[in-house]
Amino acid sequence: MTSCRAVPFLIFLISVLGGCSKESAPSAQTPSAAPSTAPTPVAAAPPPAAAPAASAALKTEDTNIDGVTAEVTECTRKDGVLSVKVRFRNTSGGAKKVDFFAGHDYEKYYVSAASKKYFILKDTEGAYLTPAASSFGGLSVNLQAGGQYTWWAKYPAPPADIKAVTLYTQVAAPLEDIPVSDK
Amino acid sequence: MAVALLILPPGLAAAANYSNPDSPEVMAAARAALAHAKILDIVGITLGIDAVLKDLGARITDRAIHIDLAADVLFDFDKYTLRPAANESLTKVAQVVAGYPEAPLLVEGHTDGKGTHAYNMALSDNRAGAVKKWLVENGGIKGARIMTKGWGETKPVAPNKKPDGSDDPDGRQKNRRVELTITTKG
Repeated sequence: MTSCRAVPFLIFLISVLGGCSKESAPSAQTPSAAPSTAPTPVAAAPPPAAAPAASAALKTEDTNIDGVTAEVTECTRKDGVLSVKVRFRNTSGGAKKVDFFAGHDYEKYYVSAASKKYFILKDTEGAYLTPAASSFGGLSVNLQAGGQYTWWAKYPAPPADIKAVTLYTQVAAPLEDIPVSDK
Repeated sequence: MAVALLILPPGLAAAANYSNPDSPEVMAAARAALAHAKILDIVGITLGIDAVLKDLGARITDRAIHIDLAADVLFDFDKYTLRPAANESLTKVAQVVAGYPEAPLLVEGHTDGKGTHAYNMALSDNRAGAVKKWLVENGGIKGARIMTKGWGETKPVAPNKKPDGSDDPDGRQKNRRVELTITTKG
């Protein structure tokens, strides 16, 4: 009999085949994390092959990857937290790889407003509130033709009188004048 | 039916929740994280970097930007504590440096020919260090980008003495300087 005390971090997962299907990293958007003994966050499944109408973008910029655009789909402020989502879409006819960063360099993705830089929030254990890097410190996503991936992050919110911010990334020109909505 | 066994190291279970930005757990973690949020002041980032470079009298090559600051403006005589009057120049330097976020910066201190070599080396080194400290603490520039070097009196840009051997105060003033080099290429 396994002792919980002996193995404090033991977790059992039971999945029923053919019953509830679990979301899995699809071919259209596959985080290319390096092999690791620990599970890494998996990108959400993409829309079906006949892509539904995309939600309106607050701001759109070309990225430095030919054929991939960055669309800010959310920039909301609530309880002192700024939530930002950016949808990366591969509008080209072939697969593209988006290298978000290497070396755990989360701080390359920051928001600026009124002469201040706001960096991604970290929890009490030092984990950034954004898709996690692989154990090798990089975050990359493979996008098939027509595929998309939504990157997100939580920032400290600028004051209430700030109505627009700029998002700096590693993969595109600054996304400027993103309107902030309050929840 | 399939059974999978996972052994997780401490803390990783919490990280797994961060796959859903809209989950209550992520929002709760975000609110808790506000207590130690990182927010930096941007020192004068504007679009007018050309004007700032001109104000500073910067020399621009295809590989670097060179800025020379008179030590007499930055420091009192024989001191390496920055004067309040230094803020204006250093703020402009920080503006320029911020425009090249990946570029390394070299700060070099120089003295005139008066005093001993050892003293001048230490003074110039301390002065370069003081400029670096200001840029890190007030300019929002990462210290790891900045290298410092004191040259003492060994690299004059003007004569310390006139041809007849008498003192050249103007020359010595030119030699008392801090040079900043932003490597923009390579």
